[in-house]
Amino acid sequence: MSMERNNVATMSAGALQTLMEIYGEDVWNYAFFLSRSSSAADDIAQETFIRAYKYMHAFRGEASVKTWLLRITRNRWYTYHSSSFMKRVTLLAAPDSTRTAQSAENAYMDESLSSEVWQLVLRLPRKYREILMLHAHYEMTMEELAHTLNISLSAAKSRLHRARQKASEYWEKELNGNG
Amino acid sequence: MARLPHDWEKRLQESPFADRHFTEKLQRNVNRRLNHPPQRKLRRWIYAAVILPLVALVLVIGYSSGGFSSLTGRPDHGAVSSGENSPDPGAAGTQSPALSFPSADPSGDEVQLPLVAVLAVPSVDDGYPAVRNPVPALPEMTFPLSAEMADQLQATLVYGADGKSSYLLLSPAGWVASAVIGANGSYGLTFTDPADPAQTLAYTDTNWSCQGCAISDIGLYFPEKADWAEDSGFPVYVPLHFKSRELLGTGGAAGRTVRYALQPDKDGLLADGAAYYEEGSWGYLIRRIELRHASGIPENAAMESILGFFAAVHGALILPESGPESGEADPAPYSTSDLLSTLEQQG
Repeated sequence: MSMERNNVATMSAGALQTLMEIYGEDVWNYAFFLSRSSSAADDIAQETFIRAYKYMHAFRGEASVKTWLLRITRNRWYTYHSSSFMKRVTLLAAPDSTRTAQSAENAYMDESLSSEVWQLVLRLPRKYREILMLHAHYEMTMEELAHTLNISLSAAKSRLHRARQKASEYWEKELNGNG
Repeated sequence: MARLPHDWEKRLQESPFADRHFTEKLQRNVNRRLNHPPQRKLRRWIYAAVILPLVALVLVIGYSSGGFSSLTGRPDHGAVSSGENSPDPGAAGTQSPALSFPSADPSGDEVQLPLVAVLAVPSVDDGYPAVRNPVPALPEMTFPLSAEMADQLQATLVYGADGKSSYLLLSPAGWVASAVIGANGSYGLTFTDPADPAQTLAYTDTNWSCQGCAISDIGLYFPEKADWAEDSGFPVYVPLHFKSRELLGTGGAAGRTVRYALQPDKDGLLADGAAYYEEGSWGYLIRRIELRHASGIPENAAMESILGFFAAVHGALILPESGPESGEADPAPYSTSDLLSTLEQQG
């Protein structure tokens, strides 16, 4: 942890490059699972590293570098999602959100996923796919989940439990739908 | 029926994608943006060079055509207002006749509260003159109050300049009211304690407009509806930290009414409030009232009456819409004295 902190606190352009090489995919994947859009994930991931470089002094070593970057990613996604542009797009798209046909990009990304379990997670509502990803993939502890998601510890446990239930429901529903 | 593989969460430890997506090109973009930040100063000068002549042109045209008369203080009979609630001196907050409420004590006398009239104005002037509408008749009050409320509360009649959106609320006595009607038809009212402006009482009604606002607020104040709100495309991003929360019933309107208290904010102010929502085939509405106050102020009994009145009538007491008395609109602007004299006539 202390070495990580030192590396970040003295981040140079070379260190930033190393950081992007090590954590770039993690940040991009998290951004993608939040936004379900590869173009949004491109933007959010770039913004995350720019932000990390500019505000490296804010890293206090209380969490791992990866967790710190994922929190920045979440904030960048939130800003991105709350922007007036996104709101306009979302409002226009909202009535159509129940459609079953996927866009070409969604279909391509869905097929690119490495397993059907990831495909299942991607279909879950945002708060469930997010907590599953943070817990199962990024191996965050309950305390880290609660801190990252800005919710209480009990709420984090409850949400993770609900996410597992939802995943199971979706799995069975899809099997029934396909079968 | 097949179940999820027992090790499905372990499979999530693998990378979701076989390919890399944070490519070298994206990494180069990051470096380029850090090394060459946007030329904001130059951009500002360019914007200034384009915008300033345009602003000057608009000002010249505006003043020469008299379009800014409302800003220069000249009377303009066409304008509703410049966005304030009391275009005439003494309009908002002017003391009016008292309003009688039944006593909570069966053997007690009626409780008289001061009636304050507040003129709500549209936040967006539609360019048409204000219409003289009759003040809506005030129904007999049925909400019981204890005798000591006579000194602690006031009844506030919010009267829309458009003849719509008239409603009645209880608030702490002496608090200054400011009401507005949003461009989308939603409306609201904020009371401020003149002795401590941080203490406020805010009321809002989405009035079947702004469905996104209504759905996300329903998800926020009724966490049991949060999943529905998210499925509707309006997730709750930052949930409220309720200190206490109670649904007032299990069905009907009471099941859609909640009383709550929030944890103290960073300034130490407490928030006590209530929310009520409706679902119609045409959409959703939510009404909310929230009192932000320092501990113990105002007295608990007064707060209970304010929030109890909201819960009893599911929001503010909506008064019937009033139209022009004649078939045609009277172009004369509605004045405060008209409003008060009519209130006096109605007792």
